[in-house]
Amino acid sequence: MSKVIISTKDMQKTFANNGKQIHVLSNVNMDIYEGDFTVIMGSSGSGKSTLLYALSGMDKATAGEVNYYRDSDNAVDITKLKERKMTDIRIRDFGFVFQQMHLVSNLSLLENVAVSGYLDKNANAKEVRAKANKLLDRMGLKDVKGNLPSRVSGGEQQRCSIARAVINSPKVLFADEPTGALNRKNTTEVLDLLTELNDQGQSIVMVTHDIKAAYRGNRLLYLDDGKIVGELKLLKYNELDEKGERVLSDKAREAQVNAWLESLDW
Amino acid sequence: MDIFTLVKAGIKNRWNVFLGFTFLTMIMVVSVVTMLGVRKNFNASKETAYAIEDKGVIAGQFRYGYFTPMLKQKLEKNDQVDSLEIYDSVVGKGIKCNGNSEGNGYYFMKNFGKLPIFNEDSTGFINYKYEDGKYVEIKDSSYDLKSGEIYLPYGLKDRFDANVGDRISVNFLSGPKTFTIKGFVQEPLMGSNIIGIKMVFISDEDFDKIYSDCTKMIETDDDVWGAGNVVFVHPTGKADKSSDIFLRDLNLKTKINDMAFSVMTKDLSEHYTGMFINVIMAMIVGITVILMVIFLIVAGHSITTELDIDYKDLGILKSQGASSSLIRTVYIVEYIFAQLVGCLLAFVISIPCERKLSDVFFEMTGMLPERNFPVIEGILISLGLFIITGIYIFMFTRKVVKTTPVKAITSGHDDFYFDSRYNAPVTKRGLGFMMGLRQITSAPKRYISIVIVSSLLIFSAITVELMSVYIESRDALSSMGTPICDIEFGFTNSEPKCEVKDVENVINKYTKIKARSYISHVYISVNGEPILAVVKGYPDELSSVYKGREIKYDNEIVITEQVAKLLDIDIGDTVSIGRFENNEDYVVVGIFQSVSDTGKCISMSLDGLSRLRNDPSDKYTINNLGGYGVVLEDASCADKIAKEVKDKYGEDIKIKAIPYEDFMEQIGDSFYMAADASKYLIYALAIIFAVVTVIMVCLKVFIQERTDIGIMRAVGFSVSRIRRQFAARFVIIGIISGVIGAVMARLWAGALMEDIFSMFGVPHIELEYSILAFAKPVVLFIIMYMIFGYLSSRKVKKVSARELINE
Repeated sequence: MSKVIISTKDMQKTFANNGKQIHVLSNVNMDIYEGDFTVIMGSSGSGKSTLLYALSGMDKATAGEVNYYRDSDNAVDITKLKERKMTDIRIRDFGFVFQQMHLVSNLSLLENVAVSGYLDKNANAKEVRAKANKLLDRMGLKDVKGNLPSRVSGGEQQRCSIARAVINSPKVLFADEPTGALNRKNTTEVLDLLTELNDQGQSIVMVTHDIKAAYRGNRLLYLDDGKIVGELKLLKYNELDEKGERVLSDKAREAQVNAWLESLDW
Repeated sequence: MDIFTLVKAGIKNRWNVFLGFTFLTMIMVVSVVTMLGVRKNFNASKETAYAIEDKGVIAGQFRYGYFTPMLKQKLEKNDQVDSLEIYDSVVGKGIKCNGNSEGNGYYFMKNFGKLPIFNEDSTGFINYKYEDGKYVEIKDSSYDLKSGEIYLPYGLKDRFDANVGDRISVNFLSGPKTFTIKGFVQEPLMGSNIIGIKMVFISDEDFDKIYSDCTKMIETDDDVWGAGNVVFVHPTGKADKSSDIFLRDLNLKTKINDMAFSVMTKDLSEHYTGMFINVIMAMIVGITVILMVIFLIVAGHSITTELDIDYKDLGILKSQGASSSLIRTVYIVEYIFAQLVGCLLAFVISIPCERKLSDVFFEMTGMLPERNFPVIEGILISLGLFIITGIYIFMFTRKVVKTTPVKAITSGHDDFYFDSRYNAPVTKRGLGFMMGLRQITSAPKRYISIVIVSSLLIFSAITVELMSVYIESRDALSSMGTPICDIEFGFTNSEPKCEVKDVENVINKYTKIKARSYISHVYISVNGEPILAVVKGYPDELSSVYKGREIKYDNEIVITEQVAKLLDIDIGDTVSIGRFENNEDYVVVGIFQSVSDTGKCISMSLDGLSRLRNDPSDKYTINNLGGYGVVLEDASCADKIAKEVKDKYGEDIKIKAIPYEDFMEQIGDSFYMAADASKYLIYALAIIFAVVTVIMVCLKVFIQERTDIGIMRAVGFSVSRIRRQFAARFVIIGIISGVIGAVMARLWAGALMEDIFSMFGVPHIELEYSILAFAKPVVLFIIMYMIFGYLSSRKVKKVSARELINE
């Protein structure tokens, strides 16, 4: 069994709307394991993005705990962290990929990645720059890394945002529908990239409603009406058999996921 | 589509902008309306005061026997003269009250009987009541002066810090006398505290006694002066409306000016009395023009930014059938509504401001200000402002016409987009500063307006700093004809035991004499025009000649630029100068400057003045001058020298050592007060505008960069780091504006100050461009921008990564 890296306890998220309370997340109890590619699915409005933001500390839960195991013994409840500490976790421990990419508009792709690296006080500026270059090259952005975000395609922007998210080698990479705004070709490129990162040991938590994206994960959670109502465990996407071939083909994975979703009335 | 709904929604959405514009309009309108009110009420009170006094348009002061029967006859026969009023007067000198002393001599006269006497709190008159829009005299014998009582013009109240019941001592030719102040009167001709000579009023009994004693002494000794006449000239309809031109005409025909010791015309009196109001008015107008420019720049910036922010909504409105003109009208109405509110608030605030400022000027003018609010002027100014703003906004909203609904809804960008601008690098070292710089270089248009506004403000601040340095420098004061001397002395007795040479001998025992300012002021006529002559013992020492050369020979004079323009003369021209019954020709050899008579003066040598005596061979000597100032090689000896001279020659000589600071206080408090007031006013306005513009720009930037801020927060930028970035970009703006403002000041501050100072008679200025004068305002602005930028960005706290969530 892998080590738990994030766990929630009776986590709730409530919004106020015209004087009415809307409970988006209700007493969510869940664990995220180190090295897993966890996928959160659910119907539209089920609260999956809200759950991701609460887990990543981008937004605070209304009640309950979100414990992050920074090291094996000590957990920090990120719902209770002060701004400075949370900022520190964002810089070093958590990386985030948005559906709409959200790159700083007046920085080039390279600068968008490097600036995140610069935020780590211990990092050496030259090393950060070299790493940013390497990451972007690896993601096929060698020729466009000096461009502003507005001058590259959506797929390129998303790959850049992944590079930005991993520049500080985070413990967990969160991705909120990273392929939601991309075409098929770009979707595959981005998913391949995330899979590759996971193969290298990167823990990933991804929200998606796309089955093709979902079966890249090895642990799928289904959220309905603010609660985790289902879980599916799969082999790792690139788990190989003795012959050196993938144990589960895309088709087989898709079939398993479809069957699971059907059982949940998706 | 209901325009009011859109206007209401617009104001609600842009509440901060609305408040900003209301505030800026308010400041502008308060400044202008207050000054207009002060000016209007001053003019009205001045006319009322002259009408009550009813003493014509020329007041000539004559030494005993100089208002000859022939002159009287000539004046009475002149078809421009309606009537004369002739009063006897005695000259009082060495006037002291409450520890304050006065160097000028005053004309003591019997009470006219008609002058308004101020009540206890100076809010009205005890012998006049206001009825049906005019003052009506209340006759009461208790207002008559008894022996030992005196009425002073109101302008002296502040100078002597005097109140009713205080004692005032005076030296007449016949001897000293002390009076009790019975009250203060409104005397408009010479009553202002800016005018040196004064008419003061004593009881008939006292006057007759002093006059009789003085005239007896004068009749036995021609050289002494202690009595004479004050003659008022009432013009007929044939006289020129300008009392100055009337006097010039009259002088050419009757020699009234040449025979008089001094002459005050109504024009001259109005010029002096209203001088500070006019100077401050000119400054306020100048500042208001700058404010208007700033206002329009901020308005332009605000409107373009609003359009950018609302671009999508504009597309939606257009797609739903709203015409471009409707959308533009919404913007115009919004901004004009903000101005309307600003104008209304300004009117309310202007009332107490006008009263307070009028009261300040009242101390100077000595004339009770009227209390009318300039309603029509205020409305006209507001309308003018609305029209200018309307046109301006109409111009700036032309983008609404150009865009199509689809273009606006989809992207808001133009059809083509290219990126050729310079982009500052982003480095780990100084990340906040570099990010701030990038934010500016990547969207420079957003910051152009604030840079222009800041540059103008910094230019104004540097200019007032340079002015401050200038007026406090020793060289500058010399170049203004008011040299700073370490020792000043004068003779109190017409036949003193010592001479100037004796004083110089004492000085030479201690230190060397560096320069001397030995001068007298006499009124003469130049080509018929009454003008003050500054008579110098040593014209080449402490000279303020800046064109041509100083006087070398007795038939030479130097003139000011003002006199050159007034009489249309220049270097090399010959003029005719008249004094008493004598006239001589002089050659103009140079242009100098002096604050004496606000620049309406000439300068001549002592020998030059002697040419105008009845017997020119009987020359004036250095001992005949009125005041002596000495600049010492070693100023620290001044006290010892003064003591020794005093010990040696006693009461015959008045001598004092003047430390530099005391001198600064001594020469025209009002002048420094005005300079200081303008400095603080500019700084206050600059700070207010800096705050408003920084807040407005910050708000816009905040709206435009909200997503970027969210992204930064998501990737690990802390709130304080982002706020420091905001502060950094305003520091950069401050630096850029500082450089531009400094260059502007180096190019134009001198010319601007020459225009302002020419009102005081100083048209030529050589500024000392010290680094401090530039650095102080620039550094202040940079710090101010940094602080305001940091404070204004506090809203960053409210932006979390949640802004980026798309559910």
